[in-house]
Amino acid sequence: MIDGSAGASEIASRISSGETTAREVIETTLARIASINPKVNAFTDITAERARQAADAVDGHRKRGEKLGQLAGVPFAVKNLIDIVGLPTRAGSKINRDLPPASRDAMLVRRLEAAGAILVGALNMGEYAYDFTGENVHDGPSRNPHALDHLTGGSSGGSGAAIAAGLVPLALGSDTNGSIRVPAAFCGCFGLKPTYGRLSRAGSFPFVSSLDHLGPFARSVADLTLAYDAMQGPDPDDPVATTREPESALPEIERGISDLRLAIVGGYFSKHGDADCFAAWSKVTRALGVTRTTEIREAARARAAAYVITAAEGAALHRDRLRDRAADFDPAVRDRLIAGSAIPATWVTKAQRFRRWYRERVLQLFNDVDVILAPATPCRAPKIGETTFTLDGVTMPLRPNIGIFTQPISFVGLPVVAVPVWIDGDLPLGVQVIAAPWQESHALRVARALEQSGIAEARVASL
Amino acid sequence: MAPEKLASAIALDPESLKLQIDAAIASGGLRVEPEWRAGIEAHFEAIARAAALVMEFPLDDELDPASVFSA
Repeated sequence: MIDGSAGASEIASRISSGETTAREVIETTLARIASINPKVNAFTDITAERARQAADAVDGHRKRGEKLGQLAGVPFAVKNLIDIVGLPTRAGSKINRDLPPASRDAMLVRRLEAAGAILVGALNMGEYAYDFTGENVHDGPSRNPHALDHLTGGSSGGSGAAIAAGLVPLALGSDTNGSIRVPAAFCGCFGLKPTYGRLSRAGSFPFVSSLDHLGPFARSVADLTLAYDAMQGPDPDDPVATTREPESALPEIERGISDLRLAIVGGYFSKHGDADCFAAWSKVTRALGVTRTTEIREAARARAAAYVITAAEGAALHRDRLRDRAADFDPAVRDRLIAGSAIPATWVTKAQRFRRWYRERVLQLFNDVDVILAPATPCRAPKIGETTFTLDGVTMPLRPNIGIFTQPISFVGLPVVAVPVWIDGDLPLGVQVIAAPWQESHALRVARALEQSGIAEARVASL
Repeated sequence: MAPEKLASAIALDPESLKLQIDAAIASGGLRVEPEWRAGIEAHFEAIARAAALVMEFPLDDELDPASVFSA
């Protein structure tokens, strides 16, 4: 019997060995979702019949002695902005439910399935991904499995919740300004935001094209890496997808980190958080013995530029919907998008020019270091419904400011593994393990070292 | 909020911000309910403050925008 704590590689191994069947795994998974999902509200759609058919196909392959994929029989679920054939891609909205059903699965769904993984459903998210909370006025909030009255973080809130509740061992989310890293931190799981352009976004509903990434969530670094490797590859359907050859990271993660130059990022990242945030960060940097400090110059301005570009591109994307169906938006999203529609072109163009300047400075840092460590969120998961929080004595709106540490990093597309850290018996926090572009394996190796030492750990909540 | 201008000459006073919002609503053909205005104005002020940080930063004229971004 597979329980909620079983990882992807363990499940695939047990199916391959004949210890269990894919059908048994899927039935157990569907039963667990039926039992626990009402508490955490992670799933918005469950693709039970599709999953059963896929499971039977995997079991058939095994019976015939055919080679099984590395993710054979592993259940996974995807944020509901990712296309699933037969379902309208709601992207957390009411409006998109009126779209025709997707005629094709997104590329990353097809790639995971090609490795044998089995889709079991779609996951809750903040409307149109313009969100750091995981709240959703249409579907209800996803709930943090470690404290049900607290936020999951967003916008990939259902992805974090599904992993932390042990509903699936793998989930996909998207990250424009922090939407993988924030829920990974709040829910206490591993999340990978790869280099911009590394994984195809084809078949996903966009938000801000020049900032949008897709990536996996898991409860172990090995599972995260397995999923990441399975999803790599060029894709002409995503104009920004890299044409680089896939670079398998799984063979790298056990290499250790003795040859990697690690640094703590100071300045901006050593402010704007609470004591818990810095305790988690310090726990990681002490465990790794990191003494070198570096600074990302103009990080605050980078966040500001990302903020402007996001608001403007988001408003442009949704212009027709704002004109025709404004009352059908989540009010918190609608008001931000209407505000974004008032941004002059000069602000956006300057922000994009600043982005070029900032990118060149950030890339120079990697001449001297391989991996940079920064906090993921300024605090633990606040309670659902809270609208403000106080940092450094300043009370500010919660929703736009949870990504204060994630935005300056994704602004220039760096790969990041968010690792879960527990400093006491209360809710987890996260630390960003940041590498140079295309060096995901460096971040994954550090994450693996932290996992091996017990500093980073993804726990399944007791529910 | 007291009227203020940063070196970038972005006007951050409430009247200037409201004028920009009004223009966007009119030109975009948007229908905005009165109770939405406070939220829209608060968000636009936050955006304008972020933009002010960007606009005041000196950049060479030759610097290309990164609107087609590569990592």
